[in-house]
This record gives sequence, structure tokens and C-alpha cells, in this order.
Amino acid sequence: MSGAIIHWAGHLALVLVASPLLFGIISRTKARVAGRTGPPLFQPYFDLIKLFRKGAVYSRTTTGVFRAGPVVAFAAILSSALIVPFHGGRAPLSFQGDLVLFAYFLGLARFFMIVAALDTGSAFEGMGASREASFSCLAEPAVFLSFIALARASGSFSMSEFLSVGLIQAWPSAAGPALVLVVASFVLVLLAENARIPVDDPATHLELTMIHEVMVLDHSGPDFGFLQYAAAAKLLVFGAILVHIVHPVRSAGFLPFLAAMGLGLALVAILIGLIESSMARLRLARVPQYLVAANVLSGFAVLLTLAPHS
Amino acid sequence: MSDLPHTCLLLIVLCNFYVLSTGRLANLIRILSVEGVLLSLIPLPAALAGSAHAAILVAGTLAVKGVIMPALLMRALRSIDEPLDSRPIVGAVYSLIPGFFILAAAFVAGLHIPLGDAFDPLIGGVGLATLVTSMLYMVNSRKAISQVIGFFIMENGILILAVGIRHGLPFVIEIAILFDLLLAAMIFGGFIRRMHEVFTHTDTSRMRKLKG
Repeated sequence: MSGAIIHWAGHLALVLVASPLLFGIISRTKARVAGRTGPPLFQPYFDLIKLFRKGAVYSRTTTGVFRAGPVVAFAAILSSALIVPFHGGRAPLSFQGDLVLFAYFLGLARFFMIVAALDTGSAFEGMGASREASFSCLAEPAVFLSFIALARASGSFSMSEFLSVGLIQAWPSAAGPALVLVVASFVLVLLAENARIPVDDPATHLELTMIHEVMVLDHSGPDFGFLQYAAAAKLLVFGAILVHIVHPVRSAGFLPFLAAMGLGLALVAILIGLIESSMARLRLARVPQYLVAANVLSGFAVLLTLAPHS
Repeated sequence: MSDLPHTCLLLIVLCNFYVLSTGRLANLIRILSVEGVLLSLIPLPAALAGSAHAAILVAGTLAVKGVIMPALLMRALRSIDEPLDSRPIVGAVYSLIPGFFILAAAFVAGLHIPLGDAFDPLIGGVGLATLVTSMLYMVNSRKAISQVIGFFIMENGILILAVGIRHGLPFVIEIAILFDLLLAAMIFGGFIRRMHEVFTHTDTSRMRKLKG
């Protein structure tokens, strides 16, 4: 029993400690590409500590939904992190079909962020909520199709299994091309889901184009801290899945695996930083096309895993 | 090396999706050239195994579909000074989604095509998908030049099916088709230029009012 508690607590602690560092690496990469020194790597931690020490301001038009939003979103993202294995071996929460629960945890987090944004009664935030809802309609099927292709290729419906043992067997087999397509699709979805540049710019406050930032404008202090922390944890979760798909490692002991995963995540963060420094954001009308392309790639991967192999 | 035709087929499917999603005519012609090169690589393992028939086919397809045809189309595109986007009737999102279902249906239907045992089981599905996707693209485009590009992609689909079908087509017919295509590309190029001279545009949807 105590072993299980240590497993759960350790997993969560890992997520909580490591996730803000990814933002630090991204902004450091962007600064380096632009020829600046950039903020220190641990700046996101200082920002979070500052936010959590502040008080919150609530508008008189808001209700309890607005206060619940950030907390529920943060809790749901942490719960989804429990399903993803970060260290060798299984994740704390693992059963056949847990990938559906994973997708629904993300959906729950998004739902509460949207409802909290609508609760402010501001037209501006409603616009952001509407955009978030309509784009997620296209991003979620792509995630699901990717997972279905991975499950088909590896023969297991549990994330802990298909992300490690299943994929090690699937890569050299005839499913290899399908996995390449899944990787491409998942990179597109990772950028979209985490509000990174081709879809959304986390640094902008230009009202015509913001999606995620506009939804969280009215949150202050600890509430905003929770939302930032949730965003960091979500990036960590998606990054970890991507690292697992690209390079599935079977547990080679706790520390070597952790080092490999950390290196992989750092590479993902640097990749995001490079994409953000080299690309402009897509026009808002082009975002659905981008997301449909992600769907088409992962759907093609599903078709390939269903087709008879030569 | 045995994976090469399989990889080429998958890349051709991705090219088809790119055709559905892009609006720039110059990119379309480039992707047509890429498809031609990929198509010429499919019989390459047979050519390396010593088949003279396959070797000539590889060289002919590469020259005609990979280089000459796209060059002719590019010249036709340069000779008309029009906006360089194809302005499809419905946007990329609404043509990618049917494109995906066409691919799924073609994969199912492709299993029923009698194929030579030596070939990839995907070849029937990819050929059919290319054929029907290019029809979708032609129906959806307004400009004469993008319809011509759709026509050439459709011909690529037919060629994929011809490669996959048991025993293949007779050599003479395959070479004759290549020369026909070359002539078609030249005629279409002249045709597009002429159309531009007479009407000052190449928008076929505006020609409906010419009907009596």
C-alpha cells in the first residue's frame, strides 16, 4: 500500500517539479535565436511563486464557476498526467482503455476553462472561449486517431503498455510508416493543444488573434498561477507522449530512464522554441486547415494499420 | 530496397492531400513533378533486377512526368499574368475531409482489384484514391490550368493501377501513353495561353455564360 502511495506521489511530484522548466527552455531557445540572453531558465518557477503569493481579484459578475475553473483545470491535467508513464515501468493509473480517460481529462480541463471564461460575461473572453471550443473540435479527433493508430499497431489499449513495450515491437514491423505519420500528426496537435505558435501565440495580447490567452485574461493571482501551471503540465504530458512515440524505451532502471526522458523533453522544448522563432502564426482562418491536416495524417495512419501488410 | 515502392505509394497519397489543400499554382506544378518522380521509382526494383522493359519505363516516366511535363506547365503558367492562386470553389478544409473518405473507400475497394502477387497490396487502393481525388480536385477548381493539373494527376492514378495489375500493360502501350501525355501537355499549354489571349482570364466557371 505504501509502495503505491509513493508511486503516485512521486509521479505527481515529478510532473510538478519538472513542468515549468519546459517553458524556461522554450523562452531561452527563442531568446538565443533572436540574439538575446533571455530570462533565466528557472524564471517560470519565480513567476509561479509570485502569482501564488498574490491575492485574487474577482469581478462582481462572476460566480463560483469562475473560481472553480482554474482549480478543476489544474486537477484534471494532473490526473491526465497520472496515466502517462514518465519513468520506466507503468504509470500509476493504467488499465485497458485508459487512453479514453486521458482524452476526457483533457476535455474536462478545457470545458472548465471555457465555462470560466464565459462566466465573466465579457464579450472578449466569450470570443476566446468560442475559438477554443471550435478548434478543439478538430484537435481532439486528431489525438484520438493517433492513439487508435498506436493501439492498433501495438495491440494494446493501455497507454503504459503501447507507449513502451508495444511500440518497441511496432517500430521495426510493417507498421513503421504509420508510426511516422502519427509522429507528424502528434507534433501538429501538440503545438495546437498547447497554444504554441502556428496556432496561437502565447506572448501576444492582440485581441483579433488570441485564443488561449484571451480566455484566461480575467484570472488573477493564484487562479492565474494554477492555469499557467496547468499549461506547463499539459506541455509536459504531451511532450512525454511524443518522446515515447519517437523513441520508446523499456525501463532500463529508474535513473537512466529519467535522464533519457529529460533529454527527450528538453529536445522537444528546443524544437518548439525553434519553430516559434522561425514561423509566423497562421491566419485564424487557416487554423482549421492545419488541424484537418493533422486529422488526415493520423487518419491515414489508422487506415494503414487496418490495411493488410505485405 | 523492397520497401521503396511502398514508401513511394505512401508519399503519393500525401502529395494528393497536399494538392487538395494548397492554393498556389506553382506549388501544384512542383508537386506534380514530385509525383512523377515518385511514380517512376515504383518499377525501380524490377529495373535493378535486370528488366530492360522496367528500366526504360523508369527513365521515360522520370523524363516525361518528372521533368518535361511540369516544365511545360510552368511555362504556360508564366506566360499568363494572372493571380497565381487556384481559387477553388470550396476551401481546403471541405475538400480535405471528402479526400480522406475517398482514401478510406479506395483502400477497401482496392482489396478487390486482382493484383500481381509481386506487388504491394496497397497499390490498388492508392491508384484508385489518386484517380478519384484528382476528379474531386478537377470538379473543385475554376482555373483551366489547375484542371489540367488535375487531369495529369488522374493519369498518374491510372498508371499506378496499370503497374499493379497482373502482368502489367504491354510495353508498347505504356510508352505510347507517355508520348500521348507529352503531346497533351504541349497542347494544353498552348490552349491555356490562347484562352488567356481571347478572354484575358482562364476561369472556366465564367465561361458558362457562353452557352446559348
